[in-house]
Order: sequence, then structure tokens, then C-alpha cells
Amino acid sequence: MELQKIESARTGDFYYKGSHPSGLDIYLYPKENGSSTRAMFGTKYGSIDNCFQRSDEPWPETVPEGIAHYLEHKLFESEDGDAFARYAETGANANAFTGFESTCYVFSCTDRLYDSLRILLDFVQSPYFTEETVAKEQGIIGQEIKMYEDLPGWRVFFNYLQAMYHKHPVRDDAAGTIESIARITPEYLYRCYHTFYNLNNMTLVLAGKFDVDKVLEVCDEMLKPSPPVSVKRVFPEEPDTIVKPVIEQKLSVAMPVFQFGYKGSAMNKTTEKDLAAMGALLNILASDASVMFRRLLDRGLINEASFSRDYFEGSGYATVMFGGESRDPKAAASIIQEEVSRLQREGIPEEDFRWAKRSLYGESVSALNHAAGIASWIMDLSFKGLELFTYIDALAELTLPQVQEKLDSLRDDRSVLSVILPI
Amino acid sequence: MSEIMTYPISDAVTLKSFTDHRFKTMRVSVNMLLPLSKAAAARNAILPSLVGRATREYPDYTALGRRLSYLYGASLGSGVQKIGGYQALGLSAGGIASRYAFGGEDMFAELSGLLLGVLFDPLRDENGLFPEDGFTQEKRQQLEQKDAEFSDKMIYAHQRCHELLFEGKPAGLDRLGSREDIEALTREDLRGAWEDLLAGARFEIFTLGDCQPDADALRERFLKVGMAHRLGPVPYEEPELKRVTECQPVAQSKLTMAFRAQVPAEERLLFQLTSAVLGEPTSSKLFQNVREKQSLCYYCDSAFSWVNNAMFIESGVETDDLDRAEEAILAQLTAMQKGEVSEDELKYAKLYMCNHLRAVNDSLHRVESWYMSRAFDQPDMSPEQAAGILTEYTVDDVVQAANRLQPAVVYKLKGGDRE
Repeated sequence: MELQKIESARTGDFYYKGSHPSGLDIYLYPKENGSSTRAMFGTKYGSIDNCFQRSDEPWPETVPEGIAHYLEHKLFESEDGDAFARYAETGANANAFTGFESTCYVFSCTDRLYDSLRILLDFVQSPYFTEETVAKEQGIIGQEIKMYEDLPGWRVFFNYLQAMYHKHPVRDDAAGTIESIARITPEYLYRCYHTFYNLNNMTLVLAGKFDVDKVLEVCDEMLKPSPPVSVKRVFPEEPDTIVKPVIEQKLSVAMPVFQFGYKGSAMNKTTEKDLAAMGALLNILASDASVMFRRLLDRGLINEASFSRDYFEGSGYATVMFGGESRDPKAAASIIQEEVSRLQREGIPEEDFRWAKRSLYGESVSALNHAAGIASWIMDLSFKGLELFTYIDALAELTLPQVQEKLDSLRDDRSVLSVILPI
Repeated sequence: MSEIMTYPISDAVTLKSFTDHRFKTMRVSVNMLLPLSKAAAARNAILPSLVGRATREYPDYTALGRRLSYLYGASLGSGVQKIGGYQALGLSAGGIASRYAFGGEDMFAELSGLLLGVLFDPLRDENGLFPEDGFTQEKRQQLEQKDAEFSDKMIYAHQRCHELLFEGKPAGLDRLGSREDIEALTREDLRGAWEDLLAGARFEIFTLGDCQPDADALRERFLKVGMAHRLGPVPYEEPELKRVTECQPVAQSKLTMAFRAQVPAEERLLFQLTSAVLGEPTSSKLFQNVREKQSLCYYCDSAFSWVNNAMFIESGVETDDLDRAEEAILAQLTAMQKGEVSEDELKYAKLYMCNHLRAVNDSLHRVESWYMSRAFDQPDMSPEQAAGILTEYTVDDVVQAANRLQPAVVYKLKGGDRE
């Protein structure tokens, strides 16, 4: 297979990108002088993909919530034992994650990389589900769901999405519910597996210490060609409006936790420039160098340890959001709204744009220190059809009007405040 | 491969330097260690964040924030940890390496200048007091930090178990001090507190990553500060088992157990290996049996803390399964004590630990953490040497170590009705 070398003049780094004959996209980011390697094998299939249509079938179908996550747990088991037992032999530290848009299987190692890579490529391509093994996982995943039910940061976020989205499945808990996972069967798992774990829908990323040719040899040896089937992800039509402006829940917490933000218009295709502009906007609005942060802090409405800002977007959803612990979430949300409106009226000062852009550049350079972070970043971008170094270049070329345009898109009538209150 | 260079500045101050151009960043940190005491814990804990929020040159919090943003998102951070019976107060500065600073800044000079500025000349008013607004902010945030630790039930359950384990002892104190002591703090209480800290703490200074520190200049600055403290673990005492159950309206109950053992420094790795066999990697007994075979939990992990001479086991379980989970966990430990440890289980635990040890040098934070711990024991041991020692241990060694663990605390946070 042919590899394209993608270089960054700004950072001096490079990586290789290619499409394997099996259909798999491969990204290889060498960091020769390190000791460890991170490998990620991911599919563009996450918790929001509960309705889909295969290209070889006439109708879409709907499956229970939580299947992507359940599948992630069960894929570690095969007829010959579990993948963890095989990794134990190589010493690799293995795990997996299910997000809204993707499921990734990962390992980090300092030794026996190619053996671990064989294990990774093998077990992800070898599904084995029985009634018995599926039933066994109900207790484990049930406890995972229960754990999240007590986490205020998790609950405030999903409540926020439920108040913001009428129909889009991003509003559903990523792991499903105790009730929905009870409906999961081996047949559902095989069905979703054979639809989404097609190598044409998957990506492999390695970052760290490895030999490019040896990695490709292992890929040639292990990858099984997939049928040329594509999948259309089906989402219900989502109105631009929100469901309700305020949502509250009581939990065993010592002080309230909040999430406030704006529902955005989902873009057909997010670009590197969009992400760079949003990153700069979030710094200008809410970093600890911002006027908003200072106003919130001076009034005792946030603390430095918990306050956060984020742009969360994907297929059919997008939101700019702020959150953390606050004695008075409504007052905090009110100040955020005032500051957003003020900057929309007055325009972003040139000086703020300059420091925000420099700060974002520094964060990007720093993120290229570690193999694990690099691999995750490349994987996330690749599923959006974006490139890492194009993003860093977009950042350098970013203009103030591009950021102002993002700011002007935030609308008060599409804002949501989610609050967790002490019982 | 880069190596850590150690420069003893005095009996009280050590500079450790890890220069490595593989990294695109640098970090300078100053860690001040003091024995934990009820009288001083709250007063000490507020100091790092208080001095780190403004400088003489940038006396305004936002102006300092903008300067750091302009320096490519650099950070001036502070933190408080508890390491055994010690309070570790940290101040650090971090940012990108000079070669990426397109404005031509000498980033080490900029960052170390900011750090040494707040360390040796913190912002105070004409009366020698910390500014009122900063003090009010930091006091509130210390209290809110304690609230956050109550809200996170995994952290809360661990802290309660730790408190019970060392009840009435310095190691049982909260690293931030008690709520009452924080609430009672006044600006006047802090008059002279910073100078007391500079004079009374043991200093562990680190320069890490893509930077070339001037060791002589740092020696000059730190020569006259600090007090020598001989650092070591919390002394071992034969435990008497405490069983405590508390109720809260939570969906998932938590089970946290503590065991104590008298472990000399040269056996630290053996006990860490014993914990790995019991409950760290996915090959461990707790993962394989309590989670995978019995489906009792999503997480069930053990960890051995040498500075506490203690091993902790933590899990989140269904309320009705609390007793079953305790029995299942103890059954695995008992099996180990009876010698039921296979060569494979030992091998997998060794491979798991070696993987972690060999990756230490790939992260500046892990390098700092590893060599901070070396201030307490085996000062010259590198992660690579530790990996070599591990390979020598046998099944018998692990079984004997497991038999030296004494049950000390069983803490249950029992879930109940949330309505």
C-alpha cells in the first residue's frame, strides 16, 4: 500500500497516511526516541447510531440504545478466551472506549508491539457472542451505568442534552439504560457488528515507537477484506429550537453543579478552520484570562478547579457550553449570557484575539508530546474527515472575523441551563 | 535515553533536572514538604494558590492570565498533596519549548522568572498582608474543593477509609485542613506564613523537558531556604479492624478496604507486585473473579501505597451485593495467602508493572512523580532498575507478602433512596 507523508513545518513532526487494500485507513505517527507506543483501532460507530441503513438493504432499522457500548465490552471475548488474557502475555495495557460517534480499542506498550498489534487486529475482527456471555455482561454494565448515575458531571451533561435536543439520539445515555441493555441479544450484536465493523468504516492509528514496514506487514497478515458495504446513519429531523431552557436534578452533592450553553446549527461538514475558530472563541470568552471568567470569579459564582468550556459537535448536533460547580448556577448563566451579548454588540477586541490564538497554538504544540494524545486526536479528526496538521495550520491563519462569526451564531433563545442540586 | 541529574543544593533542598529535547514543552516545579499538623494544615494549604494568583509585575489576576496566554498558553500552577504524613505544597510553571515560540521568547527565562518571582517576592500590600480579594477567593475555593470531594463518591469513600485508617494521626488529616480551620483563617493568620514555609519545608525542585536550566543560578537562589526533614513512610502500627458503614442517597454503593503491612523500602516493589497480582491489571484476581466471573462490579481495584504502609481495595457495587462483594474480595486475598498464585498470574503482573515503569520517561509528570517518591525511599533508583528488580520475585515471595497484610478498615458507603 502507498503511504502519503504528511509534514508540519510549524512543529517539525510528520506522519504517514494510507488506505489499506482491505479498506482500512491507516495513520502512523512515529516518535522514534520514546519508549512507548499507542495503537488505536476504531470504528465510526457510536452511541448515537441506533438507526441505520446498509447499502445492500432497502430499509433502515432501529436497535436498542447502548448496543455500541455493549458490543465494545463483548468484543474482548472470543471462542478461545478473552483478549485481555492474550494481552497479559505481551504486557500491553489495553482498553476500549465508546463515544457518541466512535468505538475505539486501544493499547499502550513498551515491548512486543507487533504481537500486541496482532492481538488487537485479530480480536476486533473476530466477534463471538452467545446467550450466556451476553447475559453475563448485564451485571457489569449495569454497575457501570449505576456508577455514572451518581457522577454529577456526567448527569448534568446528559440532562443538558435532553433539554436541548428533541429527538437526536445524542440526548440518550451512551451506555443505554438498565432497561435497554436488558433487550440486547447476540443477534443484535452480530447485526450491528457486521454493519459497522467493516474495515471500510474503520481506522487504525499508531503513535510512538515502531517500524513502519513491520506495522504494514502485520496489517497485511491480519486484515481480512470486508464486503463493499457502506452504511447510512439515520437521524430523526431535529428542530433548531430547544426542548426547555432549564432542567434540574437532585443528587447527593455538597454544592450545585451546572452546565450552560447554546444549541448551534449542525454543520454539514465541519472544517479545520471551524474547529480553530471555536477553540479561539472559547479562550476569548471563558479562559482564565477573559472578562467573563473574572466576573464569575469575583462574584464567587465559579471556581478555578471545576470551571470548563467546550465545543461539542458531531453528526447533527453542535453546542458551545460552559460548566462547573457554582453556589448560584442561575446567576452564573446570567453573567455568561451578558458577556456573550456584550461581545456580540461590541465586537471581540483585537488584543483578545491575539492572546487567545497564541494560547491555542501553545496548547496544540503541547498536545503533540504524548503518543496517546496524538493517536486519539488523529482518530477523532479522521472520523470527521479532517487532518491534524491542517488544523494547526488553520489555527495560524485564523482571522478575527472568522471567530466573530462563530460568536454571532450564539442565540439566547437556544440556550439551556442544566443544574444538579443537593438533595 | 535522558537521565535525571540530581544536584543537592543543601540538606534541605534538592534540584533534579531531566532535560530531554523529545518533549515540546518544559516544566519547572518547586515542591515544599512539611510534616502534616492539625494546627498548620489549613494555613499552609491555602498558600500556594494564594501566591500563585498574581505577581509584582502582573498584580491583577486577569492581567497575569493574559500574560500567560500570550506566552503560548503557559501555566503558573499550584497544588497541595498528602504524601504519607507530609503535606506537599507545589508551585509550578509550564509551557512550550523556546524553539516553538515564534516570538523568539526564551521560555525558560520567562517561566522560571514568573515562578521564582511569586516564590521569593509574592504580592502583598503595604502591611505585609496578602491582598484581600485574592485571600477571599482562595479561601472560598479551598472550601469548595472539599465540597467537590464529597460530591464525587469514589473520592469520598477513599478519603473516609484513609481517615479511618489513620484516625487521630497526622496521616489522617485532610491535606487542605479541616473545614472549620479553613473557615476560621484570616489574612492576619497568614502574616509571615510564607516565610515560615520557605524556612521550614524540605524542597524538591524539578526542571523537566526541553530546557537547559542554570543549576548554579538555582543553587544561589535556593541555598538559604528550607529545613532538612528525613522523609519516610507512616510508621507501622498493628491495626485493629474497624468496620464503618454510612448511608447516603446514591445509586451505587461503594466498598473500600484498607490493609496494613510493615514494609521496608527494599520491599516496596514486592508489595506493589503483590497488589498487581491481586487487583490491578485485567489479568488480576479481582478483575478475573469478582468482575468477570461473578459480575459483581464494574471496577474492583487494589493499590499499594508504600508511604502509607497500606494497601487499599476499592469497588462500586449494588447495595444488596455489598456483603457478597466483601466476601468475594477477601476470598481472592485468602486464596493468595494460601499460595494460590500461578506462575502465569505472577508473570502477567510483572509485565504489567514493567510496561508502566518503562513508560515513565515518556511523560514529564510521571518523571516528576517517580522522582518525588524517591525523596522518600531508594533515592537513586530509576524506573528501569525497578523493572529489573521486579523480575527476580517468585510466587513464594508474593504469597509471603500477601500473608503480611493485616485487615485494618472496611468502609461501606451504602446507597439508599434518592427521592
